[in-house]
Amino acid sequence: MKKTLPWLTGVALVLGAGIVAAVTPAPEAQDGPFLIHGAAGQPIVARDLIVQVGEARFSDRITVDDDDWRADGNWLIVNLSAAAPETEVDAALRLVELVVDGREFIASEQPSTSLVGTGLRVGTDTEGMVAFELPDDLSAGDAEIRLSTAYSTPNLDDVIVVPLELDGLPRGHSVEIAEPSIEGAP
Amino acid sequence: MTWLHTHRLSLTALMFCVVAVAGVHLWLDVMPIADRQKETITVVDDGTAELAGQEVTLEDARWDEYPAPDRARVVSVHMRGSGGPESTSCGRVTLSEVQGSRTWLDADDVIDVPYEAGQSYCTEESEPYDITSVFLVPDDVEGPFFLDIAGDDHTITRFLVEP
Repeated sequence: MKKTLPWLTGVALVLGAGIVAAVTPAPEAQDGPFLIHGAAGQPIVARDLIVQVGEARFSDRITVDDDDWRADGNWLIVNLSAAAPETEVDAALRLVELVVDGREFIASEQPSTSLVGTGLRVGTDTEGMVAFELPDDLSAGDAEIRLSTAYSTPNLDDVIVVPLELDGLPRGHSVEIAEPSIEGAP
Repeated sequence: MTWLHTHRLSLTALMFCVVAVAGVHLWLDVMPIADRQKETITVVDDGTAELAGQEVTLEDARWDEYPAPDRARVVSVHMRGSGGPESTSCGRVTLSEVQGSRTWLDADDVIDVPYEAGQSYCTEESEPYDITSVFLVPDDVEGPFFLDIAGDDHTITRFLVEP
């Protein structure tokens, strides 16, 4: 008995370590974001962000008002309406990402009137547009838009995820990225 | 020879390890959070506060002094700054519900406030001057509010605002 006890103890410890390793969540589960799934056309509420994804379309060119600036390319433009649930301090849409087949595209910061970075209001929706510059051959497929107030995908915080079907979206020659506005503003 | 005596070296090492782990945890994880939350709030009860090197007096607060978007209202808070050689700019000005958790920032980028209304927060001035802070709130909000003005060294001066 005296000789077998250390062996039994050793085996039990090795088995215990194996079980702990097996049930330990993957690193992404330990510090990954909390994905809040929703659908276009309805408001989706996260910890520090309320967003409604609106109309989406492709365009060969984007422009901004009161400026000669324009950019040609394969642009996907998405209308968004956003607000802050609790506080306006540090409330802004900072990460707006389009994920298609594992490829990630960040909303362009080139148009000065993009909704990205605009301060959000509590109780009052701010409407605006974001534009993604995509490769020329990308105009179809299942995509999803990810939105967060963090500059990059946050750890242990909410990220809103909205599916977007790219097939069949209308394509225009030119779209003006309108300045963010508040509905019914005087 | 007792078990404790036999293992005194390893037990001592283990004790040092425990102390070191606890110390590092306090230093890296606990202290930064404790420092971040160390904010002193001074509640003003007579309407006048000393902040940013000057006296700031709450005069009044009004509903709907300026046009608002649909389903929203404007709260405008009027103050008077004494100015003077020591005056500096104050920090962030926020309006919060007393009974609720919503907080608003100044909305002079959305609301058209005339130049004559004065500054939107306390600033560096040699003479007394007017301050008008405007906030865009949804129309379900009733007040009263706390008007918080951030100062130096994590201090906040709090006025009770009842428009």
